[in-house]
Amino acid sequence: MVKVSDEQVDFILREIEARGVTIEDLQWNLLDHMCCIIENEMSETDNFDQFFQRLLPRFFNDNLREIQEETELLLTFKHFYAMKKTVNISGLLAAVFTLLGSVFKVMHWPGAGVSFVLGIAIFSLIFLPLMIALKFRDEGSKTDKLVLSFGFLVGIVASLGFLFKMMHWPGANILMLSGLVSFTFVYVPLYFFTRVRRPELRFNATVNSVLMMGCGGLLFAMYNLGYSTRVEESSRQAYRLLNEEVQKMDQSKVISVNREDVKALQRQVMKLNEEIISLKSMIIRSSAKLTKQEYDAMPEDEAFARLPKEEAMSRILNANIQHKWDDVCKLTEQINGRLRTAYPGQKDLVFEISSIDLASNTTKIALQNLTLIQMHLRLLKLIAS
Amino acid sequence: MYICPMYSSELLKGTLKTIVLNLLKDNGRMYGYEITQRVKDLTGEKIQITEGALYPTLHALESQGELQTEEVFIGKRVRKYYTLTEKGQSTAKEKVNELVDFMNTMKFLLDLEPRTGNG
Repeated sequence: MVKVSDEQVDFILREIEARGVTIEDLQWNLLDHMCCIIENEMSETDNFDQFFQRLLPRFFNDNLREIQEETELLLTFKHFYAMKKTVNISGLLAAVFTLLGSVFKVMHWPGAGVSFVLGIAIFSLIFLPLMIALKFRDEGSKTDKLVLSFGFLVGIVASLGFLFKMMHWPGANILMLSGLVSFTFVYVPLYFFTRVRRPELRFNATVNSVLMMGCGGLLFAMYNLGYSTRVEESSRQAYRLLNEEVQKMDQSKVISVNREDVKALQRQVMKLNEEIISLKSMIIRSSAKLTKQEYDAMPEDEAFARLPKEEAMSRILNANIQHKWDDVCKLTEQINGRLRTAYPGQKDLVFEISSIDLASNTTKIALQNLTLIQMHLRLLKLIAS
Repeated sequence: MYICPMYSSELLKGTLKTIVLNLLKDNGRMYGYEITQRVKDLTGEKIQITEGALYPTLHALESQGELQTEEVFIGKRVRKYYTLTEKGQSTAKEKVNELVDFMNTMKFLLDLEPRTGNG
């Protein structure tokens, strides 16, 4: 019996590695097996190298790597089976929860949010990632693998975006927009052009692309959907009307009176009016991102129409605006105090500024509230004469 | 690439696991080369398990918990001895029973032995 030397063992192991077997256990098994064959079947007179080259083909049809591929296939098969099962179950759960969520939401029943979060989370974090893994195994061509995986990835981003939007979580817009744009303008064309050239796929590719383009396009069109232009226009008109009324105050002459306390009241009213005008200008410029020149050059209601939809005051509330608002509150309270002493019988003249919580308003409502104070000041100016 | 040379590989594809598990049940501890030689000897070379089929199956059975391994150093190389786990013991019995049942059904189906059959 021949004994395989240490150098020969090293040589065989190197050969096994060089032929693409990388699983260590398998390397050891093959090495031992080859050594056994050599020890049992090689005669003393045989040449080692020649014998080795003869024994190698016993292990494969085309190349040695087949053994490793077969091993990997068997090892992942069970895994693969479990994955397919999970895809089915998670798909069903996602569909049920999302449907329940939407019905509950329409009916305003409690539990809609939980159901939605569960449904879409299962869909985008379990179902779609598993689909990517499965497609990577199933699809033959590399391009198809990449394109489909990209599609699913985009789907994950977009559906998370919808969820965030529905739950009013931060980051919804960026998720939705990037998901929808990449879906409609990158994925669908990619899908179409990679498939339309293959005759057997042409019809399906065309139909699917049109459907997806339609859905993606519609969703994209809805993305920026706010109020209709009529609602926008009427709120702009209301603001203009209010402002025009207020501006009459500046035009009307201050009637000179002799009473010192009334003179002081008149001065305070004018001062407060200026403060409010300056506060409004700060809010509009900060929210609509206008420079002082741009703002001064355009009518008040046009600047108002340029404000972003539903922007919360808390988003633009900086130290300057807060400081100015504090001044407005303080001045109003001073005027209220003066009114209480000067006109003790007229309680209606007092403006309850504490009922305005500026930080929780939207910018538009805040501006309207401030203009309401100006209206009230106009009344005071008339009375204090 | 499965089992050769006497029978077609399609025919024997499904029996490799059963052969391996049953051999280990009877012999306790075996390594790869030993398994191929034993099958060759027992069947008078009618069935020869190829290396390309044996090792993937052994690895799969190990990962499924049917087999456990023991590594023994022989000079510079490592020999992996396979034994059945408890799970493997019962799987071996199930597999053999299933195959026997299958063979009986085939006999009946192919009208070789009309008396027997399973249902």
